[in-house]
Amino acid sequence: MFPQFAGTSETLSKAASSLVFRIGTDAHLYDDPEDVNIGALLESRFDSEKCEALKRLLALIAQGFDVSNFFPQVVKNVASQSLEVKKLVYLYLLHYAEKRPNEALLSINCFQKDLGDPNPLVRAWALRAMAGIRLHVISPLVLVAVGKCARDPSVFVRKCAANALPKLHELRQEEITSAIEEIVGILLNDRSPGVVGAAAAAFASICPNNFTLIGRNYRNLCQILPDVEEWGQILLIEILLRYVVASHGLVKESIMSSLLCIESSHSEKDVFDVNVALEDNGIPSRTYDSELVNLVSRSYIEGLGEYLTRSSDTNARLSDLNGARFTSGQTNDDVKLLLQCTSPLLWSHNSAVVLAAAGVHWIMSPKEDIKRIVKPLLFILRSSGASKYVVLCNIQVFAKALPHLFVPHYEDFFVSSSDSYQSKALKLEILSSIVTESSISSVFKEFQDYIRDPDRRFAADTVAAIGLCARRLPKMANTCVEGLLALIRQELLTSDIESGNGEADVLIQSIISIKSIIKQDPSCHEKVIIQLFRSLDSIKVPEARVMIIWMVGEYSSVGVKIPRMLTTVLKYLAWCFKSEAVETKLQILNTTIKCPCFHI
Amino acid sequence: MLFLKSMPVIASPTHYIFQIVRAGITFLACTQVEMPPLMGIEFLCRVADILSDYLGELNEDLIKDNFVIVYELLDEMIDNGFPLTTEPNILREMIAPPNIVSKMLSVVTGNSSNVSDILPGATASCVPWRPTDVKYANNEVYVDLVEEMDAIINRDGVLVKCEIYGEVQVNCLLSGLPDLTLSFANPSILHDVRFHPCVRFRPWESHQILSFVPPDGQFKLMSYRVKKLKSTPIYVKPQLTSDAGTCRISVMVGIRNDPGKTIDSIILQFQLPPCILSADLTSNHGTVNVLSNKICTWSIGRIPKDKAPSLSGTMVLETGLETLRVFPTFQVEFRIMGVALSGLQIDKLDLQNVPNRLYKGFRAVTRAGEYEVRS
Repeated sequence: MFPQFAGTSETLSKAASSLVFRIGTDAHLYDDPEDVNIGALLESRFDSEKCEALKRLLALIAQGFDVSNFFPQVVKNVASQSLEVKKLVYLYLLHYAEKRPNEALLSINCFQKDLGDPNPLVRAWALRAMAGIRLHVISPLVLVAVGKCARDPSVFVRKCAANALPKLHELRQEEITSAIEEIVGILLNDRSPGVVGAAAAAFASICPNNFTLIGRNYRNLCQILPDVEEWGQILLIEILLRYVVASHGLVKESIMSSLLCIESSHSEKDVFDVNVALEDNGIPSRTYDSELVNLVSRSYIEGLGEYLTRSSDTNARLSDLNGARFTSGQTNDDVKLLLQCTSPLLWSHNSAVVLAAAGVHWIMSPKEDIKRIVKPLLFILRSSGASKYVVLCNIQVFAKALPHLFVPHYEDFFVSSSDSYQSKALKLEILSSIVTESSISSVFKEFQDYIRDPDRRFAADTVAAIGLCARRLPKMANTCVEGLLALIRQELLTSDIESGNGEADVLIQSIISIKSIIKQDPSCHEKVIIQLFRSLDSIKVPEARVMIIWMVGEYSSVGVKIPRMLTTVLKYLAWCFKSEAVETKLQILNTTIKCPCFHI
Repeated sequence: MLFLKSMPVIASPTHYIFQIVRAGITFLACTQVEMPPLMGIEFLCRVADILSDYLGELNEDLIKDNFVIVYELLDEMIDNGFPLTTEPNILREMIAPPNIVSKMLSVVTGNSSNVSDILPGATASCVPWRPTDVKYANNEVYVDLVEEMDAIINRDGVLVKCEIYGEVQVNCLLSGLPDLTLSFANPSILHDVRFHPCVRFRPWESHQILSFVPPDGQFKLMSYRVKKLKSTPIYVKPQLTSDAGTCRISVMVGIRNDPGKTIDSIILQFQLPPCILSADLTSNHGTVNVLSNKICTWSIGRIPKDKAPSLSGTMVLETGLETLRVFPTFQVEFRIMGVALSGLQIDKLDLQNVPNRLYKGFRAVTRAGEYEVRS
């Protein structure tokens, strides 16, 4: 009796001292875990003291210490009646089982006993612990346990069985692989959506190409998809998509097909024109690059990871696929079912699910229906801040392929000052791809504000975007050039432009943009070149001088005024040659050579 | 290195790394296999949400204080790289959240077990987001429209963009397995929507009705967006003129479109551009603070009836600079209790099998979201 009191009073006084700072927290265990004899606590009769010891061990693990020397003492507690002790023991065991295989095996009997426990939580933990001890020696036992739990009446235990399968598979033992795949098949056919989700994950990591397992249950899987929980939905969508591409090929009416086709000689319409009917009576009016189609199909069937590692092997494997295969989205029921079941997922609160569903529609949906993915994708930009960057990367790809989808929504890409730099850059790029004559004036007004932003790197990016817009919309070229020249004039008034300085970036970018605009139609912009050359005296940044000098040389025979100016130009260049930077000197020589001889 | 710090997805030669930052804490996940990147990011967001829910808020001290719970949660949430249980209801039944009472009890009795020994019934039901044996003496449902106004006002004072991002947050304290139906008077103004998994799709697709069996307690039922609003409740007019190395600034704030309820917690924040050496700013209402990282905050509170709050002062530019060429953007914050500026109205909230006493409460609040005024 007395030692008992001593024990509790010691714990109480320790606890009392920590009461002053943080009531009843485990922080003291974290901060100074070693000030108590852990071994002694583990041997104690009291569950609370064992718990304290185990928590201290966990704290040490969290801080990176190696506490595997306590393994034998911890393992002895695996048969404890207290669930909290059991839980903590499992956590410890899973960390160190591989290091101490022999001792870990001592606990197997206990786990097997727990597998028959009436409490489903205990069965589930036992299975998770057994599967977590990845030792080849016990894999047959684990396989039997998983098989039993796959038929367990409790949904949670079946789900844990599905999660245990990839761990078994990682042991890479040939003799159990087919048994594992069989259990995957059983779980994929489960009535409960929770189990199906976990089974999909197991399928994806164990036998991603075993499409017979999917084919058997395709309709059920599609129909249960909306009820599967979100993480399973993401993987299941991908599996179903790959199954459809593998068994039926690409969909003729989809954007993927049109991106892969070669324009036939009598078709003058733009490849991306939505209104062009693709075919009459099932006979395609376009020819497809079959090799490219094969490659694309195979990348979906095999999964990107596998595909990339095997891409060097393509020639040997091409013969496996019987030519470019297409199916029609209008007649193929599997395609229609998949599209139908993934449409509501575009409203999911999980942005990964929305993107996966949008991906399915992008690949499989006929072009006129694709626009249903636009609003959900744009909404993610606002409702899930962390996902913004990834979604913008995807929208960038979509916008390049089908700009007209995003044209009406250009306001969603206006830059906000709370965006990260990468998001701002992506938005600028997307804006330049989707701007049209009707939206260009509001977009340019925004750009003018962005150029005044204190972040000069972003201002330089905006100037580059102006150049891109001007290239895409030649009618705006003159307005752009005038605006850029005004910007350069203003920049030159700042006294402190040096190379590497943020202001210099803006200046250089403006000249680059003007250069790319001039390239489209040099004769129209003769005056611009002359104006730039005249300002050469005030421009000190070597990169900028190089470009202007290059332009004079490149367009030296353009128009009327420039050829007449050449003598003056060359005299000026000769005069300042000595004081120039190396790259500028090289460019001056380059230009001099380019000027037609009879003008010198 | 600074560049990498803000990248949500980083590709290294051996791994992909996902990161999110919340309340100064970085949550990191890494993978060696190809996987959808948003899955990693959404999962990290979920972990952050659950920890925040369990611990009350997110900060380093709380995580250290409760590291055992954090370990237990992480162990239940992810298993061998695949998310296992992320439903807050189920997790709460398996691992009890820490609270003062249980902490006191555990200190006194020495029993600090918070691990449940019963499998939550919800894992077996087809309604996994709701516990099966909920009982309340008073049956209450509260529906809140929580909105954020996003606006961009450009240098010329033109309202370039004005939209509302909103969430319907429900606090459901009902017994048993209630089946609720919520409808709006004007659902056509909703431009975008996203739903909690409990919402059935078909009733919304056909009639714009939300039909659902709710989780227990507080949850986000749906998020929505209303676009193309015509005006903002307050105006902010900044003016910067610079000459010979100094810049004079004046900012005026006032009510533009009175929403009928008090606008409070008005705060203006802007970053002084790097070329500004020093600033001397005062206001006739509220307090102005300039921090060492050159962020200036003007806390206005409410707009008084008798005068228009204004901030004014001078800023000194760095040597050699005559005029200010780059201009700061002002971030605006405000709060209006009792009104949803989008104009969205709830029409009905019905409950099948209405119990004897049912109390329904409806509230609305609008805050400033991504609201900026350029100068």
